[in-house]
Amino acid sequence: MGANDPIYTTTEPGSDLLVSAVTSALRLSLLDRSGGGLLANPVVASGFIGRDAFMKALAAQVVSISWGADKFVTTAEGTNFTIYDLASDKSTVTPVRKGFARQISDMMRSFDSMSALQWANFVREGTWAWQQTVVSVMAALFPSFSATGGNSGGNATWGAIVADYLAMGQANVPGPYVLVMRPKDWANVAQDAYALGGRVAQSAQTDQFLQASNPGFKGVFMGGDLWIYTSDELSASGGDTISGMFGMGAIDWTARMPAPSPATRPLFWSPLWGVETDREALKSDDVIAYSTHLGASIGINAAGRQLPFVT
Amino acid sequence: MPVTDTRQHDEAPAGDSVVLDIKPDARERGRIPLPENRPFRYWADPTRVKHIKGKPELLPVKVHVEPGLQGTPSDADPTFIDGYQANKLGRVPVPMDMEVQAWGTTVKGYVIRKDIGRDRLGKQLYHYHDVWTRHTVFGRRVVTEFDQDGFDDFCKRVGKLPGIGELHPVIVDAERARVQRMADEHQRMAAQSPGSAQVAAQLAAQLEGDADEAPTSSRGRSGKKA
Repeated sequence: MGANDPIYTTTEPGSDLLVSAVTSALRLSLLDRSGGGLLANPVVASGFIGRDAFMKALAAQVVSISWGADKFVTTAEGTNFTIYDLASDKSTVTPVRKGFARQISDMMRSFDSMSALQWANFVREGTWAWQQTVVSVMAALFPSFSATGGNSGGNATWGAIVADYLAMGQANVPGPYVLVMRPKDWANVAQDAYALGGRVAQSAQTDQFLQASNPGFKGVFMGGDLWIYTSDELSASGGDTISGMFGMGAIDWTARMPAPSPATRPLFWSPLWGVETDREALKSDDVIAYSTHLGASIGINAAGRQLPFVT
Repeated sequence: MPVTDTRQHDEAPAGDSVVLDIKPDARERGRIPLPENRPFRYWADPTRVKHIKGKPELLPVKVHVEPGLQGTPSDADPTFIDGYQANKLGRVPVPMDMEVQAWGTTVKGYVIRKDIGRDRLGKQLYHYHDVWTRHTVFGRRVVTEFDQDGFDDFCKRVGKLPGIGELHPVIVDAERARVQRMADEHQRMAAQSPGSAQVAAQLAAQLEGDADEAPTSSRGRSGKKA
């Protein structure tokens, strides 16, 4: 990464694109753009608080009620039944404004013979950036799960993952679960599988580890009860990186955008994020601004576990 | 920019200052290839325990103060997330001005704020990390080292803070049993995978005394062994 320059003919990537135009050679750099896969998971999607449920206040409160927590108790004739409290808990989701911008000059656009900087690319970038941002915000919640598993100071192994998967069930968390870990942790687990010859007695699922190591969805394991994703967005703590395993109700989140105002010049506008342009005529520049209002909170804390593995 | 690799480092640092000079010209290629992030603090969780050389110690957890997270508003007021950690989770905040050992020296405070440049409009950008993490920039790569000995010492100091009582024996036993179960599981796979035997030995060594005698993890260590 260099300094935060606008896209001019004299700054990267503009200057490089002008040279590349002779050969018309262009490609994407290496980055984690896999966030969309995780957001499409039903466990994650179930925690989304939609616009209709979140209209009149700056913060949304989600209440968890402990229906069924109490059992029938023996009570002698002529004696009142005990009146119990109906236990509940709540989480508060507060969206905040998030975004960033790019700036591009008319000069650069007039020399963009490869259409590398066409408006559609900015729109596509907005989608990737929004997805990665949501994943990053969710991953920042993992250290706030009380239950800790994993293997602090050690590498990720399939044994550690299975132990935590079983612990989730013991905590009465209904499946399926989602596990988000780093590509490096996944690679360690895959190396286990290679060393084991790709198959372990009673665990044929290790065959599925022998897949490409690029970020994103890795597969469904434990008979469809565990969905595994990798991401570069995880946070570190004390020499470990914190992966997270969670079920429905663990994370509540929301993202929202209002309808564009009459002055907005949208390139792309959705109820979740928007991409708009603004003209700086005196500079002959266009600014492309990406924006959203995003918030996430732990819902039911016991529905998730943090899995520290060595960074 | 992701962490690229770690390596062992045996020398104390030249100094504890890691705030870099700000480049006045935004066009100059001076931005450190680290991502902008938010400040954090460590919290002591009475149920988050790790065995260090056979002795159970608290394992503090780092929580960033990120707007939008756990009710934190745009101005990054930490009240909401601090309230969640303290009141809901029963965690105890570790004072940010605590004296700690890092890279062979005693320093006050465990948060380092690194200037990573400015944006086009002059807005200052920062990357926050703890004192046991050291980033070295080589061209466009960042090599990251971690002072495990210093952090282990921090874990021990946290256990002695006021407001933090003795570790509950049930918690300690449960963690011990969890690690032992994992070690046993890996040992069972050792016949098919020699690597599993190494993992089992490393896990068992956490519980049984000097971890330096067991196969080590990939984490670097600094300073001399005790």
